[in-house]
This record gives sequence, structure tokens and C-alpha cells, in this order.
Amino acid sequence: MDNAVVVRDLRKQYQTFLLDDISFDVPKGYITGFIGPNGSGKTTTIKSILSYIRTDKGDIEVLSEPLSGSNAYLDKIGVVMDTPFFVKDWKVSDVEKSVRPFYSQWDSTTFHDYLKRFKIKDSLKVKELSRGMGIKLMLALALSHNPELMILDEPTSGLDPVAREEICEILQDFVGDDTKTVFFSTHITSDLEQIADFIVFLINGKVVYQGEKDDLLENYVLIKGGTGDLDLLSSYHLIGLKKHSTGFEAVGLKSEMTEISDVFLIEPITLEKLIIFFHRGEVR
Amino acid sequence: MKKILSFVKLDFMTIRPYLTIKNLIVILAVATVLAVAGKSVITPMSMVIAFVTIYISYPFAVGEQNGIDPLYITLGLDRDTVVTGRYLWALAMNIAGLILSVVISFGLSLVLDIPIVWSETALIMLTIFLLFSLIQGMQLPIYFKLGYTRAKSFAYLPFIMISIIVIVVINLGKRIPVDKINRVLVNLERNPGLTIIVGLLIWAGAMALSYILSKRWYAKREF
Repeated sequence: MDNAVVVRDLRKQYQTFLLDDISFDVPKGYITGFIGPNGSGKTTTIKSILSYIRTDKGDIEVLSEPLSGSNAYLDKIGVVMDTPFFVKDWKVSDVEKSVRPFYSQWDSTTFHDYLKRFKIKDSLKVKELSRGMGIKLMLALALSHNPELMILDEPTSGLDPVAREEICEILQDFVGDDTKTVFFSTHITSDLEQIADFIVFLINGKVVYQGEKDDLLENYVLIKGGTGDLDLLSSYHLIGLKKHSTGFEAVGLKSEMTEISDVFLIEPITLEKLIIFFHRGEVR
Repeated sequence: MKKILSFVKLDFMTIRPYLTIKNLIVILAVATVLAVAGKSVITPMSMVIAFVTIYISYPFAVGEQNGIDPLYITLGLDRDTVVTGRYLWALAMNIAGLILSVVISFGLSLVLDIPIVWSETALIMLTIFLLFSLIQGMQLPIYFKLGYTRAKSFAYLPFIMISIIVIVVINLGKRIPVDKINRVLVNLERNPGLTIIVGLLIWAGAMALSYILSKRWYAKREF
């Protein structure tokens, strides 16, 4: 399988955080969700891929080109960060005038079509846009220079469900062309459950899973039981065990749990629950 | 080169919302007051370039306020291109400032009936340009290294340094070897061509150093 992004042994050390030699691939032609709790290193990784920050170690390849110091590769990438980076006193028309000269394949018609779809007027100033409108403006811009890869960092945070749904639909349409790829970081995992094909799961600066989303959701289950039954699980691999007054809940490997499914309540897991339980850590 | 020129345009777009008629009126008012008070149109000229020096910090200030540095990278601009473009933009602003200062001074000379000696004015304009661009040359690397908020106190250092030099010179009084300085000045006056060449060489060296430091420091910034 071709990869749009290849990350190998990426390391970035901050005073209080270490992105710890992570490696993963983003397959071409699909939507890959980048999940993990706040502070797990998602934004640091994305900033490294976009050359916003310098890495301490590791190799990054984007669209088959190793990052070598030149930022020319970003011509083929559409970027949506969690905050728009435009001058707040610019009008929407100024935004287009400002960025258009830098893109080799700028398509003004597409840009205006998106503005119309998002109901963003050309004459509005950036500071007059709501958060959702600001993100949509970035999305319109990112999609209007014929990118091969879209990289989005928490674009749906703070947006209402309708706006999130709309963004997810656009991303799904985008990968309808199988040469196009989306790499989408979020902690609103319900968005990814709808649209992601692959998942890269980061916890405390380490990749704990990379692969197909369906495999991830099929491989793990949520186990619930009474406090007295916990000893029965002493030889099993449990993740994020949480005890409460009447019992416990934890995540376990589905393959291990089938043999005890008559004793415990075994439920399918969601991405959100996986993040919570993995964040708590493994028990054994 | 196309990207550098597009970046110069982007810098202009960045500060355009702040190039207001109100600011132009303030410049004109201050220039008029200075011209009337000093009965000369030379001071307004330097005042316009001082305003330009303030404007040159605007892309850093506005950029930082709006988190615009990541935009430059997102647009595929290399950091060297950003630095080169910013220096070129500063040069363009200075040239525009000089043209505006000549227009204002010429207008004031007509309105206030103050004579202008054009040969003298040209020399003064060159001196003002060299002096203020040197100050800007000291400020730009600091802005590139620290960003506007952290750099703004340091960015006034060139002005403070000039003030300190003036105060020291005044206080040294008789200890200044006036004769020797006079001899140097007389020699400079006798050789205007050499003076201009030496001045330009010093300016070019300082600007080259400023540019190299800006590139080196901006390359290390993270956004």
C-alpha cells in the first residue's frame, strides 16, 4: 500500500513532554484518524510533519518526498489547524488575495463555491467570523489549491454537530478520489467513527496502535463485572481498570474475553472509551 | 524570486488595514508643526522615516497577534524566503517613505515659503535613509529571533544607544578631541565620493550582518 506520510523514529523533547521515537504510516487514498487525549503529542507530530517545529531525531516522508529543509512540498497539502492564522482585520476577499500567489494550482472558482456553500460573505472580516466559520474558511482555502493530502488538527473542536457533520462529509467527498488522503487529528472520536478508515493512536508520546479502525474496534471489548469477580481476571491482559462501589470496568482483548463472556458483561468498545481506558494505562 | 515578491506583497497586505488616512493626517500634522517650529523642511523628512521604522515592526506585531508565521510555512515559503522578503519589504517601505517625505517637504516649502536646496536635501535624505535603515537593521534580527512581544523592549535599544552616545558626547565636553574630529570631517568634506563609498560600505556590511543573523535566528524559531 502506498503511503502519503511516513514517520520513522520521530523524537521531540520538551521540558515536560517527550514525543518518543514514534513511527507510523498514513495510507494514501484513505482517511486516517489521529487520536489520543490532550497532551499526547498529536499537535507536536502534525507540526513536525508541517515543518512548523524542528525535530530532534527521525525521518518524515510526505507524498514520497523526504523533508529536507525546503517547504515546497506544502504546495500539495491542505492544512486546517484549530485556529485560523489570518490577519483578523483582513476581509475574506483579502485572505484569497494574500494566499493565491503562493499556490501553483489555486482555483478561485472552487474557493468561491465553498464560501457560498458555507455562507461566508467575501466582505466579512476574519474577526467577524464565528469559530465554526473561521474553520470553514480555512477548509475552503485548503481545498482550493488541489491538494493531494489534507492535514487537519482538531478542526471540529468546539463546533456544533451540524458543522462537524458538514466537515466530515466534505472530507469523505475529498477521498472519493483515491489519490487524495486525509490525516485528521481529533479527540472528538465520534467524527472518526463515521469516516476514518485507519487510526493512529497516541498516548503519552507513544504510538499504541496503528492500523484499520475496524480492527481496533473489533480487537478490544469493554468488560464489566462485580468487584468479587475481578480475581477471575488475574491472568488476563486488562487496560485501564476502573473500580467503583459496585464493580469494575476495563478494556480487554476480545480474543481473550470470549472464554469468559458468560461470567462478565462484554460490550463493544468505542474509540472514545478506548482513549479513556488506554490513557489510564495497562494493569497487567 | 517570484515567491519573495509575493511575500513582499503579503507583508503589505498584512499592514494595509493599519495604513489609515488617520495615520497619514497625524504624520502631516506633526510634519507641519516641526516645519513651522524649525523653519526647515529637513526635520519632517526624518520624522517620516521614523514613522516608517515604526511601521516596519508591524508585520511582526500583527503577525504574532494573529499567529501568522505558520501561515508562511503552510504557503510553502522557506524561512530564508520570509527573511529576504521582509528585508526587501523594509527597503520598499523606506523608499516609499523617502518619496512621501520629499512630497510633504516640497508641499510644506511651498505653503510655508521655506526654501529647499535640492543638492543638500538629497544628501540629507541619503544620510537619513542610511541612519534609519541601520537602526532597522539592528531591530530586525531581534524581531526574527524573539518575536514581537519579547523583542519590543530590545528593539528600542538602537534608539537608546544613540541617545547614550549623544549624552556621553555632550558630557565629555572638552575632553573630546575636537581638532582631530574636525580634521576628519574636513577630509571627508574634501572627498565626498570617498565619504559616500565608505559610508555605503559600512552600511552594506552592517545590513549583511543583520540579514545573516535574521536568517540564522529565524531558522531556529518554532511555531
